[in-house]
Amino acid sequence: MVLHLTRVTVERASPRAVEIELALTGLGFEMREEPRRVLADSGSVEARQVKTTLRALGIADREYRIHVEFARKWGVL
Amino acid sequence: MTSTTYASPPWHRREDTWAVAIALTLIAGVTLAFFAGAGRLVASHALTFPTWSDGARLVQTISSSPVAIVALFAVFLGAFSVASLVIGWDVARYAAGFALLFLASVVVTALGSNTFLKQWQLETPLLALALGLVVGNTVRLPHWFQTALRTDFYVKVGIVLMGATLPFSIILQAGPLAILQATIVAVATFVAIHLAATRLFGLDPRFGATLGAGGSICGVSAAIAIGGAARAEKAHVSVAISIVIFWAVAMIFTLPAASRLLGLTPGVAGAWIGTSEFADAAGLAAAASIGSEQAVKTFTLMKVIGRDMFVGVWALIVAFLAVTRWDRAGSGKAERVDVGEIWKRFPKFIIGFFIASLLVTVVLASIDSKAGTQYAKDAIGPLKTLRGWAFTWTFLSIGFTTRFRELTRFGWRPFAAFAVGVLVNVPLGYWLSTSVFADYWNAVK
Repeated sequence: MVLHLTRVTVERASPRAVEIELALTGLGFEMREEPRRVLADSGSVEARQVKTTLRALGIADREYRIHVEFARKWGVL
Repeated sequence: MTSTTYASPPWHRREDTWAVAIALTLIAGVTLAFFAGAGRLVASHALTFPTWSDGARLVQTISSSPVAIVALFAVFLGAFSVASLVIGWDVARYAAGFALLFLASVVVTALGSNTFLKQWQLETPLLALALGLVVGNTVRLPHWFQTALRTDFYVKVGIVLMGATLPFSIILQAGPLAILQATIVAVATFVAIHLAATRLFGLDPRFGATLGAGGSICGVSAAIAIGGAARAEKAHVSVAISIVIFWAVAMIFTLPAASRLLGLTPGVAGAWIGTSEFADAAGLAAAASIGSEQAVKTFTLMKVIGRDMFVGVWALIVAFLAVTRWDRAGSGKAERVDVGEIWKRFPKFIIGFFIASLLVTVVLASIDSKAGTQYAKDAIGPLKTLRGWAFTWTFLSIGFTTRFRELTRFGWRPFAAFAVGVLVNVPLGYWLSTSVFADYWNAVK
């Protein structure tokens, strides 16, 4: 019914930015570098899995932002 | 990006952008034609079918205005093909599919104007839906035809054109009331569904929020927006959408039938449908089947202004709840919520709706009343006709794309939670429309 995108935004100034990026790369996220931040996108990893993984590494919720977007597939009312 | 990763398209490749652009171009074009003295020419080519009982009359209508059919087809095929090209659909397949869809729309519109069928309330909207449902669920549709079945796109074109037929003064006058009624029902329904989902049926609160949004705000679009804001699971969003579609299609037939049975006036019926239907396209089918422009107007005021417009605000509230309550681990600082959620999730085509209304209102305000009457006849009249065609393609697309077998793949718990919301939404919407605010809805002309 839907396509989905999980996007994690990490500010470069964040103390554990590199660690977060490594963890997200390990989950299969595609990374996109911007001057002040890194955007990590995935169409298969759900937000909950991101939180579980990053919390297990002791990374606080405040150190990143998650944005989830869904789009209807063809034919959905 | 991998080929399987969905990427939010840039603004110039979005359906909303093209729906608004096409509709506003039509409005501007018709208006310019009017001021250039070609208003009557345009009006005479806006294809409509008179009510007929004798087949000869129907044949006479079609044979006396072959240019109108060709012109209607050519204008929309051209506009939609350009949109297809930029958005990224397969243009050749889309064009072929649209040709068949157009043919089907001419057939159902012609049939829907038959006196006998009209007596049984089998007018164009319901005929289009019925044809689509029967064919879509019994025949395997070719891929090239499926490419042209763009429910969301056609309904947005129609809604922006609708703006041209709703003076801004009515929006200003009835808008606050629509917002008040819609907010009362939306909050009550959302809370009912969420509480039922989480407390009665033990579902995840994010899932509950997605179900609640689908039942209270604007159906599939809301389930998608709020599902995203709540970081719900993809499977939950899919289930919520299935349940919304199930109820939305059921309500297309139920609400108008109930309105007739209860003897509701068109204005009140439209408001009730606007409060208690679950999707714009389905609601328009229901409101249009009442058979009165007034019902379509009050529906639009209630649904588009009262409900659709606020999905961004709901998204922000739900995002806040998600990070501070549902997602939070321990007492650490919660994730930051981006206030930009309001704009990101806002349905942009509504801006086109307001622009269309303002444009036509400004035109009418700047000409004398005699010219205004002529403008209403030669410009707004044809725009209403074009709107009707956009809605017919919407209703056909709903029917052709609704697969009953796929819709029933949801568990009983989410269905039951949603049903609790229906039990709140429908009677509350009825009471507010018929008893509390009836005078206002009846005054919308």
